[in-house]
Amino acid sequence: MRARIKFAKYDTMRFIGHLDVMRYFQKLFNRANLPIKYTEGFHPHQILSFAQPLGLGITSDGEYLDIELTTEMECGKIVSLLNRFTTRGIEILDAVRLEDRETNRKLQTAMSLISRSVYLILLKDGFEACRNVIPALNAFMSQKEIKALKKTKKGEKEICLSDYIYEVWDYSHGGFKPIYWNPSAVSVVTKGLADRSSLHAPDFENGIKFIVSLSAGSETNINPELFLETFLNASSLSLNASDFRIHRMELYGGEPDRSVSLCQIL
Amino acid sequence: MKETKLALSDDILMSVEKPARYIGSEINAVNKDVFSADVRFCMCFPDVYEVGMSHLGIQILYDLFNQREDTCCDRVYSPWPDLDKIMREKNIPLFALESQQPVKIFDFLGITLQYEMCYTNILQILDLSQIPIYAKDRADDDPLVIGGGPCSYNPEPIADFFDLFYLGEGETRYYELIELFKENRKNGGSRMDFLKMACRIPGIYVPAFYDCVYNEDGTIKSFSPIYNFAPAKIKKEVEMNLSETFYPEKPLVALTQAIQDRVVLEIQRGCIRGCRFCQAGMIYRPIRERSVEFLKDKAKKMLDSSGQDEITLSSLSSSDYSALHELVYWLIDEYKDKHINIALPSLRIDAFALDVMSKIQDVAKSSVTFAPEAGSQRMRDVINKGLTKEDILNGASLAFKGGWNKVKLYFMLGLPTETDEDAEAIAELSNDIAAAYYLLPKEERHGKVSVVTSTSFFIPKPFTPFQWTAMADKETFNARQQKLSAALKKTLNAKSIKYIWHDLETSELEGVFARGDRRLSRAVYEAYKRGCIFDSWNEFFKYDVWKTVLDELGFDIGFYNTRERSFDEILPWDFIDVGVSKSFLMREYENAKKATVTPNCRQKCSGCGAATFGGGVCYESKN
Repeated sequence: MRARIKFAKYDTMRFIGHLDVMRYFQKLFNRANLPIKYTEGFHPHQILSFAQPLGLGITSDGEYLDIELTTEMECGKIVSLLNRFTTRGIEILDAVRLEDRETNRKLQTAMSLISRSVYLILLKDGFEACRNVIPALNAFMSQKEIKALKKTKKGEKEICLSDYIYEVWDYSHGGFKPIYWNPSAVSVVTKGLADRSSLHAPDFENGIKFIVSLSAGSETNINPELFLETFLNASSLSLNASDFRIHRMELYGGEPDRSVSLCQIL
Repeated sequence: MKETKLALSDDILMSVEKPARYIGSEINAVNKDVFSADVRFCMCFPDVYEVGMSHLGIQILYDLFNQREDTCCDRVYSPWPDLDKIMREKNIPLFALESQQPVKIFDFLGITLQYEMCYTNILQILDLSQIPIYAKDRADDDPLVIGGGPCSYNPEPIADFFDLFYLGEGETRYYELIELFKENRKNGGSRMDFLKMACRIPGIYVPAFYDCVYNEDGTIKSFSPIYNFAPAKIKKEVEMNLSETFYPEKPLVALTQAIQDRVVLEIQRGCIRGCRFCQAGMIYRPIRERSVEFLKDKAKKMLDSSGQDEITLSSLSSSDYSALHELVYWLIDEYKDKHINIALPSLRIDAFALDVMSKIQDVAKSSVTFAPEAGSQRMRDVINKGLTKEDILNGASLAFKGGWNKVKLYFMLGLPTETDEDAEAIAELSNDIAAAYYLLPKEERHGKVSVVTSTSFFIPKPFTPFQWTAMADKETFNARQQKLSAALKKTLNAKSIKYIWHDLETSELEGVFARGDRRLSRAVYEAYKRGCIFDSWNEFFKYDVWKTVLDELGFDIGFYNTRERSFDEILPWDFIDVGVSKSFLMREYENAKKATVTPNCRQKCSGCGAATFGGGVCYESKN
């Protein structure tokens, strides 16, 4: 049976790189004695496929991993079993059954589906400028067009960043106010999502935080650092990207105008 | 969500390579409240995290200490040079991984000494921890710095940096030491009071209680206790029942890949072979086996609790473990279908080994390894390596028939009595092995044969029959290496043989510290002050700096390395009793010079002295 696992990566685990997260899960499955399927051949390895790798230092409530099991298992049981053997920093949030290989010939992996990501960006404590962040963000997003330099394999390329920003919300002090909405995309961010998907994010006393929804996946992937840096460069806040923490809230698949969470695309 | 408070800020962690080295949080880490523990012990491996995390000894002691409710044992490793720099700039004290608290709040800092080239890293640890470098400068509230591990069998070059050393196997006396520490604190005793009592515990050496006087020629005139309560001779500690003792059931698993990223099963300690160059073969005598039941039980528990997908057997010579067949076939039966790899290093290549290897490895990709150590039979007799050319060629032929075509060979250059011919014999043996492959009928061969011949330089070590011998000088090493290299190129199968050699300059310094005396601590400190650190890493080893320091401080490398010592010279490590007697080592040195072979412990007891421990192989036939 194929299954998609949703998990949170938080606290000290934010310093564990993508390859090490893979190794972590391989060992977790072994400890939990999950009947995971292996590839054939002399060096068999577990059949795992991760969605979008998460940058170092970023926490998340929206990580996805596709697995294959040799036997049928109830999804609720997969979640509880893995949570019994995981350690602080990785928590299994959900598991859903995926179509089998036989019926799903194209075999869409979590990675290939991704089209949008939602991030929570939080200001760390200890900065005078904290009250000016949201007004500056409002000003930044009210521009007609936002240009940015995106690093590609061939060097840097100027892109129109605003085309790839779908939503921006002010989530400071637990409030929930719209800052920007891109009419070409359907809105996916709700107060419910914000509350649910920020459970493993850090807390700071200043309470300044905002949510951005960006284009993601293989077509045009905008990483949250690029957004943050472009914003800070354009503002007069005298803050650096490292003065903020980033938390991934959710990943979505489908066209921008009808995005659905990865756990709903089976 | 409330996050764990780390010693380093996000900014620092994000700016260094592999921040996972510094955050703790490993699987099976024991996170105790360091402040409420009666005794705080910080265990250190003075090298980078991935190396230190691969070490079994620390895992055994970590488990041993943390089994005690009154003790909190945390770990620390050497910060990599990138973080080292930041910690100095920002004056951040070195911290333990679990509690993320400064090392200096611990009662003990235990440092394992696995190789000589880690000595400057010890000073890095002390310095970054803000603990005075010299033991004499430490105050009552500084941690007690305790050393252990193979290099503590000649602790003298670093003796001044340590408050005490534990000589021998940790299982036996650490609880006693902890109890003593608690009692001393209850009684309001000082650091000195503790050390005075500690030195009476067998295996404990307190360097400050001993004085070393030198002759004009630099050799030792006398080495003796300053106080009458300090024992003149210190006997190493040995755990005689390895099947009823501490062994971790929940091994730590690093979150970033360790060098040894697998479960380690130590099947026995000691070795029956008596190779004359090998320190481990002497200092861990007598050989003691763990029972198969014990090992099966631990293997299962460790694999279950760690989720590791590989298990390796560890010992000096696995083939000598008497129940090896039973254990290995059990592992294969139990785990082969569960996708657990089994690694069997230090296995003599014979029919059994090849059968096992064919079951657990991809024959086409793996290689077979031989360690003849020397090329000529005479030379192998000198070092008492009980291996004939016939054995090696038979083993290789068996392997070739079994489908292997890659062979790795390990040799040493500069062995006592070695001549150019002995060095060149390495080329001949390498060639003969390659040639043996082509004796197979063509249809049985799998492509071309590949032989990798690698040489290291022989470094005489304390407590071996070669402890008196002159190490070859640089010119000799170079000349032999060139002779061998040229001879290899001239062999018929030269195209199939690849030659790899070990760095000469590191070996020279390792030689100095292996048999060095107490005066050398000044050189270690001076080299450290001039930036030497991570000396065992080629990219950081600063030979020129070391050389200048030794010159400026008046140390003669030749005095330590290339001088033949006489039997009546007092050696810096003579105050340690490892069981194996000096008279045995002398006898063995004489046998070496005559190229006379001494039988192994199971063939015939040679009366080395290890029987004093009352068990192991010495009593096997008497049970």
